[in-house]
Amino acid sequence: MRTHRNAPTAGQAPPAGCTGRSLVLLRERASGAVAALLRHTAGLRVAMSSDFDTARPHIAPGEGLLFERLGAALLRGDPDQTRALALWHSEGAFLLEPERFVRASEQKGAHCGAEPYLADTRAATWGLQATRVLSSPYQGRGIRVAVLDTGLDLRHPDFAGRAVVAKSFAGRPPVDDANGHGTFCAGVACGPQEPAQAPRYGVAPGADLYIAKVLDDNADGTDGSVLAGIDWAVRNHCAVVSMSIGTPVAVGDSYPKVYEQAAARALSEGVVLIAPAGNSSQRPDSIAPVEHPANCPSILAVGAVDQSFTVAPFSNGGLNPRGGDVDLVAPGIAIASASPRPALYQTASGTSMAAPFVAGIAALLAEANPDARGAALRTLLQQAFRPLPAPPRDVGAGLVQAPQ
Amino acid sequence: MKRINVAIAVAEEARDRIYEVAAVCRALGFGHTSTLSDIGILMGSAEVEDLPMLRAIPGVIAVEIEHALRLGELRGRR
Repeated sequence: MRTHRNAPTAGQAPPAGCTGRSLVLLRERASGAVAALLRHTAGLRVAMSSDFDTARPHIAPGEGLLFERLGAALLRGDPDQTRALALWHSEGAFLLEPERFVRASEQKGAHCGAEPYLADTRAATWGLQATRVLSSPYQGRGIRVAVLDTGLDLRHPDFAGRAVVAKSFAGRPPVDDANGHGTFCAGVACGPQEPAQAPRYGVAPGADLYIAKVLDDNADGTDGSVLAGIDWAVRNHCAVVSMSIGTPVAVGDSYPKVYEQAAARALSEGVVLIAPAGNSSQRPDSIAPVEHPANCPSILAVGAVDQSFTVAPFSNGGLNPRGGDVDLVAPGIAIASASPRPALYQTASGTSMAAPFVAGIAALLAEANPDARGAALRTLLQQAFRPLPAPPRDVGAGLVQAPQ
Repeated sequence: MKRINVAIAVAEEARDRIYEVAAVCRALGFGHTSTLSDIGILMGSAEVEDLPMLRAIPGVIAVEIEHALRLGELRGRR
């Protein structure tokens, strides 16, 4: 039985910063079934938000309001009803959290016990905890993951003895990474089970690592080198491509047709492409649109959240139509991973750090589902999430989760 | 006249004759440098004023100017 130690407790005064009402986050958007569950199990009278013209209808004791499009409900139960809901919460039927007061000027408000403020431990980084990687029985064994970036420190002790296939598309070889970004991202996606001198930071330690150096050590690159890297990954039957690169676009811009063609063809060949949403936002004042090439419909766009699952202030949003949305979010603040020697380890923040979490989890899903590749794997990935109380514009479906 | 790096996407239905499409592009001034046959893309360079002509070639679905790319920015790295 799964338990969530931060579920609201019946009969107690609400924690500071909380309203006393409860938020239910549906694991799947089967709104009708959950509404029936709330009615019959907890005896709540549940209305649909679409039936109201007003944005904030009054919710009396014993009543609830179901937001069908968000996959969430707001409830005002008595102690018995809250206790009944807490039981279903602990059974994993849905997530139950106390509703918080929010203020526009305070993006990182009180946690009020609703979400843990996760921290790195001696065993693993907070990102692996948040994405439930540590309890997953899968490691990405036999799955080829391509990381298109600034290369890899091939003599890093955490990758010693690891089979790595590497090729440089960024001018002159070698593929060695003097920048650090590529080593970092490869570490998050496919770092080892037991690093030499750090907590575990890698999602898929069993994956076969394919390193395409598409940016030089100054982090400069072109579409040509990235497209060549994608072509190489397809030719090598990689199931997953992680490419933490991007270029800002304007609101109203369309996606690049050449990249979309490349990504669609890669999908049809069994390869899922994953890219960061971008870091141009300055929330809450301004939100920038998902960048190129993550804005292609056939490329998964990944935003970033912090240790309390709040959207990172820099994380771009789904402002543009036809592919410009955020698909999933992953940990992207204070992420620890590998660094080229002699440092060995570093901590960084950005949607660049979030995208390889999704890539690593794609490898776990690919191991768990040997027949699912390309579009089928992409669909599984889009279903592997924990809902978050934030708009889909900012978090897509929600926080990516490893298969259990 | 300005020569620029471009990427040409070849339509799925023309994928098995991508080298023929490339030959037609070359005949119209495309400086062909590489063929990414697994994803149906031709890389190379062209004069800006030739782009409409390249886009009109049967089997070509898009001709786009190559972008410079950068990292998803590192923040607070140490």
